Amino acid sequence: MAAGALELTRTARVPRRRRLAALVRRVPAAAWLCALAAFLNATAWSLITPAFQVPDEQAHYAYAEFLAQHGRPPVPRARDTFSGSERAALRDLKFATTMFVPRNGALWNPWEQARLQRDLRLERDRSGGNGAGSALGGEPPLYYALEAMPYRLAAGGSVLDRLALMRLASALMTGATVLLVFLFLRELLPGRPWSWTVGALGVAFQPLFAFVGGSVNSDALLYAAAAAIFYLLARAFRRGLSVRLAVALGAATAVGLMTKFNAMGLVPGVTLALLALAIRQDGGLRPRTLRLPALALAVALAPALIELALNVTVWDRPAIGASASAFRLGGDIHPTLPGALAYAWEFYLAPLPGMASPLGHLPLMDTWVTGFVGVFGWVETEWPVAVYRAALVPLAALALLAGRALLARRDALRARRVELLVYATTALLFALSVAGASYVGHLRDHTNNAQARYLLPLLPLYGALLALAVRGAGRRWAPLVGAAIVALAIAHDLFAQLLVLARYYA
Amino acid sequence: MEGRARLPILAIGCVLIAAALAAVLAQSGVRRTGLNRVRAVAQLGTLERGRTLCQRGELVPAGTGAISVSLLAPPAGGGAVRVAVVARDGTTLAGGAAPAGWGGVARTIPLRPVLARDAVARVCVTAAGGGIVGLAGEGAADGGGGRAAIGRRALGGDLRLVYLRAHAASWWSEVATVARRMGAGHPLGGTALAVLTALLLTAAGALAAWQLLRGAQ
Repeated sequence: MAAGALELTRTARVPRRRRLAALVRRVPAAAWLCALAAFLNATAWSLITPAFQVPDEQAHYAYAEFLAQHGRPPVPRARDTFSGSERAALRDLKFATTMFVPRNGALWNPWEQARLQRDLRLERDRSGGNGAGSALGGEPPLYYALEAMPYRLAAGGSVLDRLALMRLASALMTGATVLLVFLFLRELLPGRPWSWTVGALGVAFQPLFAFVGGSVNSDALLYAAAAAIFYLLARAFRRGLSVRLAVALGAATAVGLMTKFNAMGLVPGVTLALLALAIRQDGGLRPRTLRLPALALAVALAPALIELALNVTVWDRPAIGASASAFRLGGDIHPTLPGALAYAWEFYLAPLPGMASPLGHLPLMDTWVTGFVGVFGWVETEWPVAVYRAALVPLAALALLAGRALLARRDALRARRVELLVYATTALLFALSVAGASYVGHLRDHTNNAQARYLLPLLPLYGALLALAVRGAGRRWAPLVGAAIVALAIAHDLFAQLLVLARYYA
Repeated sequence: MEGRARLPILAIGCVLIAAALAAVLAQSGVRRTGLNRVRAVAQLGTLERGRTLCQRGELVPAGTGAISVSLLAPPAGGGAVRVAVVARDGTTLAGGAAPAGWGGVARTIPLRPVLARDAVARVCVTAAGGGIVGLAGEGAADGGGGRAAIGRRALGGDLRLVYLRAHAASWWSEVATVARRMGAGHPLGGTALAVLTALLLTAAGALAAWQLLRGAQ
């Protein structure tokens, strides 16, 4: 009987394996190779960037360590505490005097390095600390549960060995993001395969993306989830919304929601897209039209509801983690819609007359363009201002070429206006959610959470911009423009790495 | 969009990147041998003409041929400054002086001889002429007296010191040093880590170039 059961399991497995193999084969080799390039590049970043010199990496490591050691996520606390081994590493790496101080490099001195090695060997405590309960205590656990695997694989090593392996896991997620960006471009812009490669490679070598992807940071998985959402939306717009696609969209959204609070900002866009797809498919809005959107949203929210139940019954955490984060509402802060909209305007663009200017006179340039071109380390490792100004030239050229491509195909554009409107609205609502989170923090303690990496879930649209620019160049010049885009992206990435090397090691 | 059309463009791109990289790495400058990681965020006090400040417990790296001291020049310009690196037994390992007429927030003073080996030493700074010089550093983290003192009077913090090579050099000449520093705490060690990083980047770039040439299949 046991043999029969075994045989049954085997026969069930074979088709599943075949299905998986067929699925893998359906992905073009070019997509895999772009993903591999992104993985290799992020791995290089993971080796170049000193341990914990990426925003909040010490907290993300602590959360993953807490989850690996205690089998549960941490509880929100008033302040972060770390395990003995992480504390020793942070102390010996001179963490506090290196972050935010661009003129202080990493460890150079042989004595300091010898002390670090000795303390890493001696200090074994891993279960102490509260898992960065203040910075991340309420955050969902999916990314950290995945990072607990490399953590356990390197269990016999030191903090830095574990961190190195955990960074590799993030680099894999970076590769997955680029794979999904390629697939998104294939669905979005059929007909010119070469432009998909250019768009995906442009994303793969975007230095801020690769810098975050080479670190322990939940953003790495959020980017992959967002890319999956864009890909599945494009697929649904091109091929129609099926049950399988609705479930896949729900699953991708669930991954985002179980990774980071910021993913909440994608939910309104996804909901809108599902409604638009269902209405288009049914030719109007009837009760049965909502069947597939409801299925997708149920799949998206189910894990979050399970987490909510576990938070209350088993983990002793607040039901909704975000309610314990720095962006929590309530208390003595009184956010208003006009206030939030005014703040969002100032957050991204420029203060209007009579407005406060929490982010300076021109945040669009000083924070967002500058951040996207590249500010590394703890947002303090920068190029000279002239570099950011010079970057406006290729960025403007890309925008012009992409605009030309859209103009040239305005008839086709008209036919796909709902789809394009959905992408634009999704991006806008996500950007507003980032500003909204910062608005709450601003009301609470006058801080502003404005970092370009928060907008990188919209990277698939950047890939689309690059692919469109290639098309906008016309058939004759497309090879030149495409090759120039990728060459420029590689050069940009390479010089960003040199900047980081010079900041920490020279 | 044949692969043949893309090949010269990619080749030009590679040559341009290589040329830019070579130009950047050939840039000459005075490189750091070390620093004491103190931030120049507070004025610790002032140093009057003829007085000497000494900071104990400094790790002065081998190859140091100059020290940049965080000093605040008076409005009329800073006076002459002398510096000495003094071993625990009182021997002066190296010393130097810089003339008057400087401004800003740091003064670089050449040392002779260049330190042949790493030393744990006192670094002493003397205001040899001109007006009062401000001392920039950071208050002691433990609220104690810090390591900097003028005579017997502790200043309550540490002075920022940066150790420099004697002469300007290109980045090329620093490649081995940078590689060694990269390896701090890493299981692979510095040089192997730098080589691996270079290989990864080359592989990523080669993959991208190959992709562009073959097009999406």
